[in-house]
Amino acid sequence: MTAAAYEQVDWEPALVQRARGGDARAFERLYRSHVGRVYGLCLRLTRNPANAEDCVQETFISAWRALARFQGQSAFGTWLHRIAVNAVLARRRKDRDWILTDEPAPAEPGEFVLETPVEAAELEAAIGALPDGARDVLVLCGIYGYSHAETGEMLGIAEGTCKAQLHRARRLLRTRLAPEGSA
Amino acid sequence: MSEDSRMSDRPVRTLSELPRELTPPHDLWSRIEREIAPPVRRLRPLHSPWPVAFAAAIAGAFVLGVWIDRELRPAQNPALPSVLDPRLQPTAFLDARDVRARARLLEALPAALAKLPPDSRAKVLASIATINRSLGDIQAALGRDPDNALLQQLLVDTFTDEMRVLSTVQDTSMSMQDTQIRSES
Repeated sequence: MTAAAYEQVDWEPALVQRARGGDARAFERLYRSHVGRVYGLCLRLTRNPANAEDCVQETFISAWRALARFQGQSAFGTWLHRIAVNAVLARRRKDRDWILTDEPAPAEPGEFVLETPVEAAELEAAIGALPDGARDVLVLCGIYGYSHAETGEMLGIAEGTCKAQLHRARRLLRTRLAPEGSA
Repeated sequence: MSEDSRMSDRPVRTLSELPRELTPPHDLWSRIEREIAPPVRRLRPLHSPWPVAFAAAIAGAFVLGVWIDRELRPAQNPALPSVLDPRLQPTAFLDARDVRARARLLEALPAALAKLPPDSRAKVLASIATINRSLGDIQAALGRDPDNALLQQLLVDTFTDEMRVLSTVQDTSMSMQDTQIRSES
């Protein structure tokens, strides 16, 4: 077997199976494989690295405890993302220090010119300045590629609401990233 | 779609080009591992009040110690501390029912041992001496580090081993007594 063939082997189902049997080392390998995506999601939803780390931790601890209920009907990563979104939403509800208003935060004045590629950092900042509802949908649909149905299910909102929030998020992004005087 | 519309939509389309994976500033695994590790069996607090059975256990242990000391001389005696910290006594670690059972077994041990053949008795005494040495060592270590969960667990396990030996001796002696009664009748 060549090295390339080895790389194509999907160890995840076996690792999940071992982790379900209580093998913490197998679960650690799953953690290493998925922590980047889970942290990326949590950071974009929370906009705070410390809170995002806490949510990642809660996600993997909850996943470990719920492994027996994971039936493998969805990908393990998708299942983890559902848990992560729940962790973020629960934390947002509990944490009084968080901004709970749905009003958009003031955007930084941009020098962005549409003819040039959008800088990733600038785009991330604009996403971070979106109101919670719009940002949640934009992150899940726009960045992580979930469908409206999946996103609506994760966030506990109707599919129509999800579409409306995505439309709103895009409109706000366009406004914020447009050069001064053109919005 | 107009040129303006295409251009203004450009930032939104680049969303899918953003990295989905971001590296957390810290490795979170150690914190997660601590949470998912199997729970260490919680032991009874060391400062629990002494139940009445404690006195019986102490008396039983004292009788056994004197008896073993006499039986094993001049062999090496188990190195139990002369004065044990009460927090390290069985009552601090075992259920009250186990403490009572242990006291009864210790009380009945001399009579039970007397019914055993000499070679069996020697083996039992050697086992008990080993267990007592272990208990002494663990109790001494716990005296220095009373909150060490591993040592506490080890002490519970050793008390359990001791109970198992005492129960076996009791059962064997009773079985031998029954056989003797039947053969005599």
